[in-house]
Amino acid sequence: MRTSIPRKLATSMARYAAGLLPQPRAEWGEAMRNEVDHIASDFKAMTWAIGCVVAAFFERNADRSQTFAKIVKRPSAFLPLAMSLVALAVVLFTLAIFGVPHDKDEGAAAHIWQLLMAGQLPLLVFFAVKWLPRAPKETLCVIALQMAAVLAAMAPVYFLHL
Amino acid sequence: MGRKPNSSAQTRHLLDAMMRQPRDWQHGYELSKLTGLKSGTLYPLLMRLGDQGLLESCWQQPERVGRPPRHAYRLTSTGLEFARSVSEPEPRRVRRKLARATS
Repeated sequence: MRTSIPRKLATSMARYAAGLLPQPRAEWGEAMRNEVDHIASDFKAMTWAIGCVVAAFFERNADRSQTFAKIVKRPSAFLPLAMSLVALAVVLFTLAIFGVPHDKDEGAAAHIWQLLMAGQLPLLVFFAVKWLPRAPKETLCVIALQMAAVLAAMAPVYFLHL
Repeated sequence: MGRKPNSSAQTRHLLDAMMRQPRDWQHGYELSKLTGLKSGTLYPLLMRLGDQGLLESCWQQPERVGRPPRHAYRLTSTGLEFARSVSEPEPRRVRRKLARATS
């Protein structure tokens, strides 16, 4: 007996959905895939399989978000972020109060900024070494955030020649 | 404040459907037909309920030869209790909330 195109599509999509799910959800992936074979109507099997892809997609993203949330709560992840943001705040506060300085002497604000920026380097390295092998994608997202915060803190210093 | 878990209309609808035949194992497609929920909504709900220990699942051998085994679901005793608690008629729940707020 020839298999119809919608049935073939349904089977392929259900298989794809099962593959999308993270490992701890593998049993659910098999459940979705097998259920398609028990739906008599080819068209209904196809719509069922589309739903399975949607469910698997959101489930995978939910799993990644949970991992991301777990990682970003680690001190080695959020401390560099916080240090960059404090450094940025120091620069903006100094600019707001004293304006752009024209003398060459470095004030207290400049030293605080330097300490904050240099102090986070070991933390950044520690974080990357510890977490990259465990959850590469989520760790890269956190590192991207940390880099964005570093650039934000450095931008006024660079552009205003402070 | 975040929303209370399992308080969505879809979850209550699913729990209601499963509570009607509490001892019977039900398959995903049948549950979908009973509740009108699409697979994209149904499976995440089943997964959550399973994670929370409100739902148990098993593999059943197919009735027709050549078909793959089927995943079947039913509420656990905790799930059944929970389903009963959330399936109270809406006005009663609202009245209770009001009473709690005014006390």
